[in-house]
Amino acid sequence: MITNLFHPLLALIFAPLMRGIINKTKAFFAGRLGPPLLQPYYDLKKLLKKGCVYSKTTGFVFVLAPVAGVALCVLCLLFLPCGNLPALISFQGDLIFIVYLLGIMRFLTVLAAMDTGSAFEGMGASREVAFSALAEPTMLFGLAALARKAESFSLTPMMHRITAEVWLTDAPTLAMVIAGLLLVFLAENSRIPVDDPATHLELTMIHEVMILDHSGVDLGFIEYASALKMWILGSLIIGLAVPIRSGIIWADIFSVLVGLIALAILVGVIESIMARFRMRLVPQLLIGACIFSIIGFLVQ
Amino acid sequence: MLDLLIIMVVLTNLRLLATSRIESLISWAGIQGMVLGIFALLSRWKHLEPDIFVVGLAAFSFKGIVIPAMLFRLVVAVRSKREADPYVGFIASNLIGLLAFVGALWLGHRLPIPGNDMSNLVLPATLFSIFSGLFLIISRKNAISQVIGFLTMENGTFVLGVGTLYYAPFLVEIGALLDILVAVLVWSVLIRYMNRAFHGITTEQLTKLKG
Amino acid sequence: MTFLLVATVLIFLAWLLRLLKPEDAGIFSVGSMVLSFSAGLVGAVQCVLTLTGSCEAFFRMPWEMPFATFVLRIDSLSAFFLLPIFGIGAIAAVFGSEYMHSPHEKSNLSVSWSAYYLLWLSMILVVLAADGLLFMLAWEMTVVSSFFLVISGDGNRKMHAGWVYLLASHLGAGFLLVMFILLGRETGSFEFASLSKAADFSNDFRSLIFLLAVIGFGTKAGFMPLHVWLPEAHPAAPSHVSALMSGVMIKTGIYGLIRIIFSLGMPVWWWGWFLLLIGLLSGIIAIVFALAQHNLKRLLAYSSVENVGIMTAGLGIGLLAVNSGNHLVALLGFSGCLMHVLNHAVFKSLLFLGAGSVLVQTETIEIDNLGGLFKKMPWTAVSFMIGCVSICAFPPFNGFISEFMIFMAAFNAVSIADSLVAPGILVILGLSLIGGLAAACFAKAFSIVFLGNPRSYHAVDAKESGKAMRYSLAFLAISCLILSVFAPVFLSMPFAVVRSYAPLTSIDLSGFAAETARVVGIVSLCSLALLILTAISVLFRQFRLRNREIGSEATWGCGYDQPSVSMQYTGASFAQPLTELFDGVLGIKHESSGGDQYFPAKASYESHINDLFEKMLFIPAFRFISDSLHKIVWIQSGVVQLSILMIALTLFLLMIVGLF
Repeated sequence: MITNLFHPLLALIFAPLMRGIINKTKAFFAGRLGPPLLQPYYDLKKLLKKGCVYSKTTGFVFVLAPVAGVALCVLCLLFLPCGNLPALISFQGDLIFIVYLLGIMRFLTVLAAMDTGSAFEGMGASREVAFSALAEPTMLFGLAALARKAESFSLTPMMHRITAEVWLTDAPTLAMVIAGLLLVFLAENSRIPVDDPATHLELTMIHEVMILDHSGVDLGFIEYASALKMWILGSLIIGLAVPIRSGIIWADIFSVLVGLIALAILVGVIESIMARFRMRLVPQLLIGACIFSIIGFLVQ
Repeated sequence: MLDLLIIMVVLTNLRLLATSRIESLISWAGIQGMVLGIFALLSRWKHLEPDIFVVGLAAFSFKGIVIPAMLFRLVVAVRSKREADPYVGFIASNLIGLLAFVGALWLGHRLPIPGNDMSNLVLPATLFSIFSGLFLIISRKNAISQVIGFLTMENGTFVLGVGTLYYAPFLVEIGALLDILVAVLVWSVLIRYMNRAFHGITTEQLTKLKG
Repeated sequence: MTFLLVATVLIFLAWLLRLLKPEDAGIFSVGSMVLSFSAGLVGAVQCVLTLTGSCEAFFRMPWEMPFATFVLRIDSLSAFFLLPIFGIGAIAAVFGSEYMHSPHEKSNLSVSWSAYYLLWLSMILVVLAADGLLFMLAWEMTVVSSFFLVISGDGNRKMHAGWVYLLASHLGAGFLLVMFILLGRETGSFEFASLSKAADFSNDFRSLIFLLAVIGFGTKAGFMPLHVWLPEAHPAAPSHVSALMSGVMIKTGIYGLIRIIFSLGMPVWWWGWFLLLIGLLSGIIAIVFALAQHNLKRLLAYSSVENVGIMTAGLGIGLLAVNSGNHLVALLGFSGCLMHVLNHAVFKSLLFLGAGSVLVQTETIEIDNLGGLFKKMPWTAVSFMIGCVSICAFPPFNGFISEFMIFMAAFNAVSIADSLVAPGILVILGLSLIGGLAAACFAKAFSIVFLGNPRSYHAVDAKESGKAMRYSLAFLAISCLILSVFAPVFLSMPFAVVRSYAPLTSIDLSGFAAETARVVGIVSLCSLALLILTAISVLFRQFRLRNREIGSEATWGCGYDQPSVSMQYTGASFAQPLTELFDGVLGIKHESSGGDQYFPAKASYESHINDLFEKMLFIPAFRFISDSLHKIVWIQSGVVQLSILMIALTLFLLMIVGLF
């Protein structure tokens, strides 16, 4: 029971680090020194110390979305296994629950954006719902392929059964599912090539433009929740890509940590060598992701 | 590993269906050729005999390098438009492709081929490649994409050929490779003439030949 | 049966009070409201008793009708569908008693209320009837009474809506009549008790009956492409009637379908496939259409079609599982479908009543004319938001529970059963696509109507509705939460229904049932945990914000400090990325002028959307019929003598035919 708490606690502590690593990687490619590795933590600390400024248009929903976002992500963490360590809560269908928890988080963020009555935030909200409507089938399809492989649709037994031997026999399925999930990961965490978190023009943003009006503590909540979300989706991918199932607590946790750091570096590399897609091309990218997971399902 | 390569062939087919740029059509067809060459080499890696080695190397260089290079030169020579002018759009093409792949998988499971000791994906990939090639020929206006369609179909039969190499003699494979080389040569001459006659290489203009 | 009798008497009394003084908004209205509400409660008690104790009741009365018998029977299936009829009927009556007195409503109150109570009673009769002809009679009564409600409503196309509705319903009823007559001829009686004999007939005959039932009941339930009447009739009726029609009445179609399928014995293999594909296609196409609507009630009507699609998909995968002998998937599919019937009844009526509350206050239901109502109508807004979260199947509300069960059926099919992989994966693909699109659709509906700033004068002066409307909204919103948090308790009801299905009666389902209840129980607990976690993070936020400065500013406009209301995103622009993606299905017509010069000038933009099937299928078909009929219109000359001659000739002919 206590050991099952390690992974959620680890996520709560180290989640913002992933963004720091991504930024460091990008800085390395650009030949800059870049912000310190712990900059996301400094930002959070600063934001939590501040007051808030609200738009006169906004109301209850605007306040609810950030706090509910953190609560939803924390709940999600309880369903995540770590290597061979079981999750704190595990039941048949927990992966559907996770997908829907992330769904309501997005729903609330969209409502909060619409609450400001700003055209920019409306634009971001509109894009967010459109792209996530395409990302959701990819994710569930990929998980269904894994469920068929592992003969279970609860994450803990699933991760338990997807071992290195499965990689030897069913590499195509796993590779395709990982490819699909990686694209979903990039889209859901608003990274390049779907969304550019570093852009300066509101017109070209998706996620960042939706939270333009949040400030202070609320913004801190949002940043923290999106760090947690990155960890949640990332640890699903790492669970598949790094089939280390030793059962020894430290080894499993270490493998997941190293995997996530590698994933963050990979994202940094992708962001450094690619440009953001035109908005019209993003649906094609997401449909492509869906095709990856469909083929992953079909070829097993 | 071999499965992964076959999946790569399937994915490149889907990519060919999805793209509408001539350049990317040619380069993805080239990538597919290279994948096929590697596939041929790896398929009998443990006891690699010289004939297989020659087939693999020839496929890699012809399909992957020579033919794409010829086509690229052709694009420059005829100053072709960069669009393949698809009749069918991105999403529809991909959906049709996916359905075709489902169909190919179903057929592949129904028809076990003799001598296939590698992967049960060989036949589906073959059928799917043939379908993709046909679809490219039917649904694109630009004449160069017709050549690509033809190449894709041939690539499909190549997968089957390698999958059953014990039965398909070496000469047949090499003969087929030389055949498509000649065919592409003929095509490129034809396209050059077509460009001169019609000032463009859109196949729609061929209707003008009607009496 | 006593409870049912009492409930019926209470409904009659409530009706009577309305008729005594229809214009009165005081003691008579309140009395009628109380009577309706208690009728709902008493009726619900009977349903729960039947479902838990399986005490089936039977009632037979002498009747002069030829061929028909007046037999009522309440078993688990009818009790399950009776529950929302009583519950929603009562709440809608409470809501309506204030709604009908608003200045917005101009219809004749006594006619409207008579039609309402008649509709309510006839729906009760539909699920209780245990005789084919009695069933058809009650079925027709629901159609006629709701037809009057539709044409007495406030839509500006109400006559058109009424005719489309009447026509569609009667076409459907025609198929049902043929079905009952065929069944009656083969089994020897119209009574439902003899229907079970149909299980032994040949596959062809049973398939014919199945097809007739799908078309007939599907028209009522709104299967694509038979749904065309729904988006016309539901917006036209008064809102509490829309709630009753959309939340409950269309479910009588599902009831009839399940009743017939249950009596047909072991399903033929393609039945499940047929329902599964109908369900998924209905769901996806309908939610795309809902997304593109400009009228809030029309949007809700399309979303009803989508939800019926989800139920049908659950039913379909259940039937396929029965065929292949996978009883866990069968149990999950069927009970997911049934739970969705119950849940959809609650949240869809909630949404329609919320729309009614908006309509009364702003006198418009065009989404793009509204906005900023959250601060003006907090009760309505919060309840509507809960309805939206429920219908998008997000935890912690009830919509998630039933969709989760159908997902469980599909994932079980994919991961455990080899023969069910294809249907399972189709359900997963369909449901996830529907889920994403539904989230987009209801994010649009809620945010454009309730958030931001008012987009027109309609929304500026809105006030909160009165007590009756507020409380009925709140009641339904709380029900959404209760149905989710106590879901394992409610699960025994659909399980009781599934156990009564002939191919499953001999099988011990209790292990599967217990396992399902356990998983759903964990989900419910997690939903509760979610609420607690949210409360904790709210407290943490309050803790961080104490003694801090809370500022108030205009919305950030990228440096532009004169934002105007018309700069906000509208419903059409919000949905644009998705409607563009699905333009092949939607076929939206755009009309715009101006706006393409370098300097701002007067510009306008309009978009129209017609129903795909209405445009491509029904209008051409009916035009063809009417053109053909025009060719024989010469028969009707208008001369009385000729008409009488024709009647005489027909009689004579019939006599001759009868003689041979």
